[in-house]
Amino acid sequence: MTRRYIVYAEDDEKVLEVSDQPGALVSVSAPPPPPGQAPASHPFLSASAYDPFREGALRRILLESSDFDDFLSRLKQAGYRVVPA
Amino acid sequence: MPRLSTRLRDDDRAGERRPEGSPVRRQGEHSREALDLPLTADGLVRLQKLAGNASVSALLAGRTVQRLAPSPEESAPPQGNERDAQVALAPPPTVGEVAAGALGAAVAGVAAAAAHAAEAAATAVAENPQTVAAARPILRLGSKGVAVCDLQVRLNQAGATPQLKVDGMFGPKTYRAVRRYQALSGMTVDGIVGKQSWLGLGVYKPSASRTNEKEREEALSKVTIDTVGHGSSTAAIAAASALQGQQWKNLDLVGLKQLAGMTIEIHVIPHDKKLTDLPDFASLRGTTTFDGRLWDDVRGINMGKSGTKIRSAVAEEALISIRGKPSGYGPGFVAAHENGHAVRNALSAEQNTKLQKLFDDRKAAHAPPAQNAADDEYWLSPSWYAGANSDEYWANSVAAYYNHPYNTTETVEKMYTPAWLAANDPKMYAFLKSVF
Repeated sequence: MTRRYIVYAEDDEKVLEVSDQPGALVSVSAPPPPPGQAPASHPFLSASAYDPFREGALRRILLESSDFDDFLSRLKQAGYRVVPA
Repeated sequence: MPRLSTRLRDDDRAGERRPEGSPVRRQGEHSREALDLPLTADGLVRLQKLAGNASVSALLAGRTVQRLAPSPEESAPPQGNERDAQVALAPPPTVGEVAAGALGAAVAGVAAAAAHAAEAAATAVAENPQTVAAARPILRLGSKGVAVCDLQVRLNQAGATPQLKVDGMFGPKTYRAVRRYQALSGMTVDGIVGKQSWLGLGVYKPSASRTNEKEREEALSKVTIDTVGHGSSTAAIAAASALQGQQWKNLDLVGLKQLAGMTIEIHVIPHDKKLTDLPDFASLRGTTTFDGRLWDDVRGINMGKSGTKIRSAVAEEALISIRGKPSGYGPGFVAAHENGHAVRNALSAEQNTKLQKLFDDRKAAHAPPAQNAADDEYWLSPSWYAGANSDEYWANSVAAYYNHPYNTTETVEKMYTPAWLAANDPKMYAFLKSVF
C-alpha cells in the first residue's frame, strides 16, 4: 500500500506531494528537464514540489534524510504540516 | 477609445529607453511606467518610434482588452476545399497581437507589413470597436499582410524548422513550413492556410462554445495580460504574446471569470541573461529546484498565483531560434507548458476535480509502464513528467493541444498534436476543448 502525503508550509501553502514509492523528483514550477536529461529519481520516495521559493530548503531536508519516515519527521521538525493524502 | 498600453520596465537594459520625463526607478522596484497610446495609426507610429530599432529592449506589452478584425482585403471568403468551413468565429488578433506584428515587422525593416498592421488595427477599431468575430483569411503563396505575420509566428511556435522570419510575406519558406505543418498534423497537404490549418494553429474555436462572446469580452476586459520583454528581441516578445493569445484569450467563460482583476505576466528571459537576472525572479538566485537544478540556469518558470498576479517566464531561445543557443526543447514547448501551468489557476473547482480524475484514471489504466512503451504509455510513464502528477499531465497536454512538442523527434512530434490527443487520450482532448 502506497503511503501518500501532502506537505503544507506554515502559511498553509501546499509545497510538496510525496509518496513512499521510489520514483521521480519533480519541480512543478520548472520546465521538464531538457530532452536527453532524465528526470531526477530518488531511491525511497517520489515527490512533486510546488513552491519555487521553498524547493531548495525542502531538497536540503531530503538530502539529510535516511529514509521516508525520517524525511517526514524532519519536515515536521522544520515546521511543515504533513497530512495523509 | 481603445488604448494600447505600452509599459517600460526599469530593468530593461538601457536607461535611455525610458520616456522623457519619467522618473528614475530604483533597481528591483516593482513600479512601471505606463504609456497609454490611443490605438490610431498615429499611436502605432509612436509605438514603432518608441521601439525604434533592432537593439531596442523597451517592453512591448500587449494589453488585450479589445479584439480586431483583419483588414477588408485580407478577409477573403473561403475557397477550394476550405469552402464549407463552418467553424467558428474565432478570436481575431488582439490589439496587442496586431501591434506586436507591426512592431516586429518595423524592427525587421519591413515597412509595408508594419504599415499594413497599423492600418488594420486603426481601421478595425475605427469601424467597429466592439468587433470580435471575423474569419481568418485564406492564405497562400504570395499572400501578404498582418495575417501572414500572425501565421509565421504561429508556425514558428509549432516548430517550423528553420524558424521563419516574421515579415508578412508568404514566400517559399513559409509555403514549405505550411506544407510540413499540414503533413505532421495529418491534414491535406496543399500549402494553403484555410480553416483546418488555422484551427490546428489555435485560432478557431467550435462555434457552439462561442455563443456568449459578449460576456467573454466583458470578462476579458477585466484581465490584464502583459508580455514583459526584459530586452529580448521583438520577435520573441511577439511569439510570447501570440502564445498568450492562444491560451488565455481562448479560455471559456468560466475560466475568464475566475481571472477578473488579475494581471497575467509572461516574462521573456533574454538569451544572454539568467532567469535570476530578472528582478521578478532575483530572489531565487543561488537556490535550487527540488530535483537539484540551480534556478539561475533554469530557462523557464511558472510562479503560480500570488495575490492578483499570475507570473511565468520563458527563455527567448525557447520562443525563437537563437544562433548558437539551441533550447533543446521543441519550439514553443516551454512557453506552452509553463503557460499551461499558469492557466490551471483559471480552472474552476469542478474542472480541477475532473482533471485530477482524468489523471488518476489514466494512470490506473496504464500502469505499470512497459519497456519500450507504446506512445500512449510513454505519455504517462511514471518515469516521465506527465506521469508525475496532474499538473504535469495537464501542462504537457496543453502543449500537445497547441502543437508544441517536447522535442523534435518524429515520435514525440506526432504525440504533441491535437490529433494524437483525440485518438489516444480522448477524455483529456474533450476536457481541453471544453476549457479552451
